[in-house]
Amino acid sequence: MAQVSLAGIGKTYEGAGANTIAGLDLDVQDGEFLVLVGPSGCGKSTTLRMIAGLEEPTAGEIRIGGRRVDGLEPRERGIAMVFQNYALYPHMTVAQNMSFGLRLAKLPRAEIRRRVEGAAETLGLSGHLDRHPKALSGGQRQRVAMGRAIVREPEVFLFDEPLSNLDAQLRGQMRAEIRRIHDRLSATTIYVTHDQVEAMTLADRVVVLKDGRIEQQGSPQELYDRPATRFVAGFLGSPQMNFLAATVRNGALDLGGGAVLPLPSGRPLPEGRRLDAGIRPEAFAAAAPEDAAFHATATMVEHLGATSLVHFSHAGQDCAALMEPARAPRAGQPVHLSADPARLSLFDADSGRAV
Amino acid sequence: MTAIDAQGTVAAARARRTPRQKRDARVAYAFLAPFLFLLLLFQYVPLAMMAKNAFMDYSLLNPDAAKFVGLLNFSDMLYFDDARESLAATFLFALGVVAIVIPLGFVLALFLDSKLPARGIVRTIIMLPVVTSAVVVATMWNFLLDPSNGLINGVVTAMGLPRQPFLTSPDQALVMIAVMTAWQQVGFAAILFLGGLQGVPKELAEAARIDGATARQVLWNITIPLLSRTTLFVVVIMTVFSLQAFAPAFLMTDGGPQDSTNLIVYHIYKTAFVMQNAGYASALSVLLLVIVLGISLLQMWLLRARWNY
Repeated sequence: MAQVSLAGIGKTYEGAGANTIAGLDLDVQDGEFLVLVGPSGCGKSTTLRMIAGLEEPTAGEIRIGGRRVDGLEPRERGIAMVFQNYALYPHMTVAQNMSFGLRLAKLPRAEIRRRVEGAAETLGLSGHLDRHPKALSGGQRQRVAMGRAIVREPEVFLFDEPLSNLDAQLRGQMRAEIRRIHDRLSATTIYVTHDQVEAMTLADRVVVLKDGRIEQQGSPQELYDRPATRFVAGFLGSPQMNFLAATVRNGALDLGGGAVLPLPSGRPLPEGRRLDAGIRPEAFAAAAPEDAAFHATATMVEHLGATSLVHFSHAGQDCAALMEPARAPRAGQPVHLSADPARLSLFDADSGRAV
Repeated sequence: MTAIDAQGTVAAARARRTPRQKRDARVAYAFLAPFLFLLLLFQYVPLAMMAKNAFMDYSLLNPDAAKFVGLLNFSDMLYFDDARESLAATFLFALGVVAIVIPLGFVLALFLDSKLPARGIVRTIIMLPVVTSAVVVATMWNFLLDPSNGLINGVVTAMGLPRQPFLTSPDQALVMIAVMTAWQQVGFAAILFLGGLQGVPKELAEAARIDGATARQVLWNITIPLLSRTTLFVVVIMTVFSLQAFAPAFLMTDGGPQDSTNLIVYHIYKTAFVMQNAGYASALSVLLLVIVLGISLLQMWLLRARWNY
């Protein structure tokens, strides 16, 4: 049973206004895979480091498995952590790296052997146990770092941007591997990343942080489909959501440049209200000129293989739409698009909150 | 055959150099020339002369009477006790300096690496002796260690202990000059250690703490092993420096009492300029050169990169 709960956690650095966490409340369920995501400086790494015990909060309390741990040393918290740059001990072999914590804990030799060999097997490191980190590839080093965490059989796994030093292909592989290991060990996992793809693919629950506050939390799909703020909408999803300045006029949404969309059903809005309309690139569809809401000229077309990303300018705003390659125009050609009003996200133009 | 092949390859490589590379090389040599010239004139020419003189019976008073004696100077080193005794004192001195400087320098570096407010001042304080002239330091310590009026004996007697002879005792003199030299050099060692400490990624200590290590276990299992290269470097620097020490023996003890502080460089100086036996002094110098060279080569061999971080 290892629930992690943060209550009113605050962190203030001396002489720094930015990068401060103020009154963060967060509960992570036993066995949950929670991803903390946000732009750099949002406080996600600091939060993780406070859970780990590498930094002390200046306010609030942290509990792991019901036990208050703030003020305790990292070793007393029942956690293991994987660092961004692996933090492997360069003077130790893979086996020594993985067994370091167990040796400190004075576990019996046979038990250490069993655990290290088990983890090495799981991670495909069995042939490398006698090597030093220097002789390993980036992906292998990452595996050793994970092995070092696994052998300690912690109640809580903490990951601090573990994949950001790997190339794209390896990142995809390791992502799958991390999720597989989580499913097997079902330990509570808190994972920090700035990569929204990792957040979307790994998480049971995503917590989006901004300026030390929780902007929104929920399942990846929930956040993707119903972002609570313009910030969340822009942060999750690749390619990014398009934002257009809109005004409610005659019971419809005037997006400027002659584009008018019906208001999403069941959401009556006052006449003249200024909004930001968010349209995901895949919510656009090619349409006949007479049915289309958007008429523009393609400024650039990126062929992604399965789809093409068509860039165009609408009412002075850069936009992008995902289209089938066969139907995508070439740069300089006219493009006519419609957008599904049901897939529209509307945000207050001033507060940025969803309406 | 291979040699010719190799030369051919080198020639081909040289021929392939572009005009721009040639011009760059010329400029580089032009910039290096003044320094290389001075190095040659004041380092390598005297070195060569010394090597030649090591095989001569030679006096500075009458250089024209120099005569070739083969390996006589070197066999004299084995025949008489002076070289052996002086080297023994010198190595003992070096051992003392290293034994004090390494732990103390390391602890100071740990202190300087922490976030204490007085750090800047302490850093200046410990570097001050390093940049102070050895003559000034030796003179000051002469006052401090004076058997009758010295400050240190003042403290010793105030604590109710018997007055110590220090530099006037054959048992204590070498220890005292080693302590003094260590005091002077510890700041330098601390700065070198500090550089090493700051090169160790912070995540390693953090990872170790998460792995369950206490502060002491982090120090013992992570920091110290990772600083082994720095430590070796400091040991070698301090050893070589101590082997070349001259000022303490010259200014404080005159090599005495009973030759107990007759450091090798001071012995060489006395042999050449007091005893007027420059040939034998040159031979001793060659021996010292070989020893220092040997230590340096050993260091380079041990410092081959095993792992990095």
